[in-house]
Amino acid sequence: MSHANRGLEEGNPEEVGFSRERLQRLTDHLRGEVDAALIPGATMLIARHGKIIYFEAIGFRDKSVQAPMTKDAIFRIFSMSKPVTSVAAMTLVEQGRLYLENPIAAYIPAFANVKVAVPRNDPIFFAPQGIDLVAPVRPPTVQDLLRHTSGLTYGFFETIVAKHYREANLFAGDFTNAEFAERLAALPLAFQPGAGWNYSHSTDLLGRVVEVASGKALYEWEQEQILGPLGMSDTSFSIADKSKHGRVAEAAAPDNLAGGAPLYDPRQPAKSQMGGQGMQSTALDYARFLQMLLNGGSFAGNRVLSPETVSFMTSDHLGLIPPGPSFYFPGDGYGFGLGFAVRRAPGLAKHTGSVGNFDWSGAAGTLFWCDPRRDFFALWMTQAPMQLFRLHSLLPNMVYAALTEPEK
Amino acid sequence: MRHLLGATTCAMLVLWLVAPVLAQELGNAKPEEVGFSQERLDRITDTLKADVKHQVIPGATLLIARHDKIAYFEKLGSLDPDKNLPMRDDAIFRIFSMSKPITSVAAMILFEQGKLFLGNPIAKYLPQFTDVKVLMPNKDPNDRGDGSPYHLVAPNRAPTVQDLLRHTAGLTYGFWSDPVAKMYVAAGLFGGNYNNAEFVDRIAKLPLAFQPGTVWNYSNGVDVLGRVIEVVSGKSLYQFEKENILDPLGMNDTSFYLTDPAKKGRIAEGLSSDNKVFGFPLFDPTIQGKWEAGGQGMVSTTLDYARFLQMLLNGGVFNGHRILSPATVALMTHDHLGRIGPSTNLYIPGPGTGFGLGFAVRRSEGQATIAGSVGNYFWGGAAGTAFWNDPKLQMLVVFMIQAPKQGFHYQTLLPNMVYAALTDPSK
Repeated sequence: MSHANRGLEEGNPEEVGFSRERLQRLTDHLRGEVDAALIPGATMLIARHGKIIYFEAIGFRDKSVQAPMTKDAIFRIFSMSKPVTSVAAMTLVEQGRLYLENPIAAYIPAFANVKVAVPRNDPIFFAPQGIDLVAPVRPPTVQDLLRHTSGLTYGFFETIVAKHYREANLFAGDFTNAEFAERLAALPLAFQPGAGWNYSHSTDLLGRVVEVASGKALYEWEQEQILGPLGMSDTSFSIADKSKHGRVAEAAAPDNLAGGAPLYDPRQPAKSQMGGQGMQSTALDYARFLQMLLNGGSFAGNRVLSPETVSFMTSDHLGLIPPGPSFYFPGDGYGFGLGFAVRRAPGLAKHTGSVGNFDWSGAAGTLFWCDPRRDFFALWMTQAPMQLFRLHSLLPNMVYAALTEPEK
Repeated sequence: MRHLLGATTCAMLVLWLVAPVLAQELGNAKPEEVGFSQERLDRITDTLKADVKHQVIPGATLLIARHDKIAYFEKLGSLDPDKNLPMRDDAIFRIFSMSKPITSVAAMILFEQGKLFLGNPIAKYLPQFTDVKVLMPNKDPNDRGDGSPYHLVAPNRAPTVQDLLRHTAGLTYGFWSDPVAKMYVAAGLFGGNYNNAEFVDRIAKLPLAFQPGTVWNYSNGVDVLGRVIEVVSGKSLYQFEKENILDPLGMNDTSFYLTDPAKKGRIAEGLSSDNKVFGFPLFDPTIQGKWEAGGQGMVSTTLDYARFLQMLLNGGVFNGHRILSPATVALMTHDHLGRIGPSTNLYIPGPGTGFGLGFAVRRSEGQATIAGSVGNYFWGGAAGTAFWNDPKLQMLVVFMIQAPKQGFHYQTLLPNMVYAALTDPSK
């Protein structure tokens, strides 16, 4: 059955297998979290079979001025930018302008000389004595960027190259993707390409690859290929339209820090278009994006990707590639596709979900998952960085508790 | 002969009395209607009768249901061999480790309510476990340190709620042969009359036998889980289970202790030659104690437990009462071990079988030494009781007995003979 023309419309929980009573239990719980000051406020949206059956705005958009949450509030989605950038890359793959197996250096020549850091040990006592730089066994590829196996890392991880990352002033000034790519290319890789899954600046670099392959700025390409066709008019890297500035959701102290600094102000104009972390969006905008993926690449007649490309992206690309060296965010029971964690096992995981689920989240506390088998998605927007890990379990556990339709 | 007639009359009376209730809940079907061969079911009955006759077992009940309908429900032999009382449909059995699935479902109710997380360290709920250590053998058996062949290390990661549910916390049982098991016995873990809180105080003082998450090791983990439920829910384990599982499902004969004197005459007993579990006589459930042991403490009946199993087969709902959602039941009844292997102690789930959250879970068609479908989940109790659910074929089986030495035998025999009798599984 083709869902090419399916959009999002209003629906009743009971019509699509959800228990109204158990959804109410979720709402009550979330209001309790606002009352307990665990989160300042949130929007949450659940849609099944193309019908929005749950859309709540709770708590405060800006607690400091007691402004209530609104359904059109704009959130910093941080790493939920990555799936958008990944889809942008796959539009170029579909057009024959980008190859997953190509070395990054085919698009960013500075990467032709990238080296891998290996520990240098004292030859007699094996005490660690800094690092040696060796040539990569194989060059990092576009696929490595999409699935976080490139050898790149984040400066906040304790890897062998952490010091290099921290001293590189990666974020100095107002930089373009081209400049950021040059800065990354000057750093050694933390491990051999393809040797592990390691969360990283890979998707920021992918943003630059998209620019080179498309000949356009990342945002311009995304606007043309994804945001425009899907009607995601509130999704951008910085919010140029002043009339939207009053809709930005704010975190509440003391939980208002990301990487030790207060959440950035998206109202400030900036050149930076970081594909791995830079976007703002709303519940309804991102819901359109997720419904497009569940529909097999099309939303309300607007085709972004083909069903085969979506299923390729949302299948596991790790195989036997192990986690590490840093924290394995996808979690037990999960692999990783091209831009998403992908559930491999019905058990093992610490939260409920179907095999084939694909999901991701953002550092300020936002998260989503799509369940292709049961044809639904859930989307959660908040600005409460410290609560992300807890919510990443709590929300699936409570949402699946409300999906009472018998299994086929 | 008089004896047998009496039993039959009694059974007919009981069936007549409970029949209307059954109709609302589990229905009845002729074996052929749900794919069974009557002739081959009779073979099972004959085998059980022969074992009764030869005093291998005192008596037993066996219930088989498919598609919500009971196709087979037999009671055989004696309820109490000393008193020469016949077995009854509503006999009450000590189900020992078949308490564990009930405790596990109780935990998952709190999980669904957003109050309990599988990934959280046990110490988050039970601070006694904050500094728990792991007992490790010294690498050099001639270690001259303190002369002990063991030393204590901090765990590589904290044991979690998920670890308790799947037996990977590093806890053990006193009847095993690992060195910590011997410490459990030496510490008098089970001395006196204590509650779950006191039990956790005792066990948390002892080291873990294995690094958390590294091996499956059958253990007191579900007893500890019972205390987690009490801390999170603010209720005693039984009170929480009564409100959220037992009462909604009509499991009126399932409890830790039998306080109703009217039920006393329904307790099944073992043969004098086989009435001890790990050297201890079968406990007397009419003596009210404090410990509500989530891993081993319950008594139940065949029909009570069948209701519980049908709830799970139905995706968490029975007779209009929603206990869990289908996805939560699916999470519980799929393998959670992955590459985690067995410990040095017996791997009770057996070959071809992993472990979910409270149940052994069949991973492959082959490899196992018993008949069964992939996805079957099952467990048994130390007094010989056993059950399995077959989600693929929509079948449940409950076997009740008080014959500890015969447990492993029947846990193999019954699947083989029941599947042998299912001659038309497409029905």
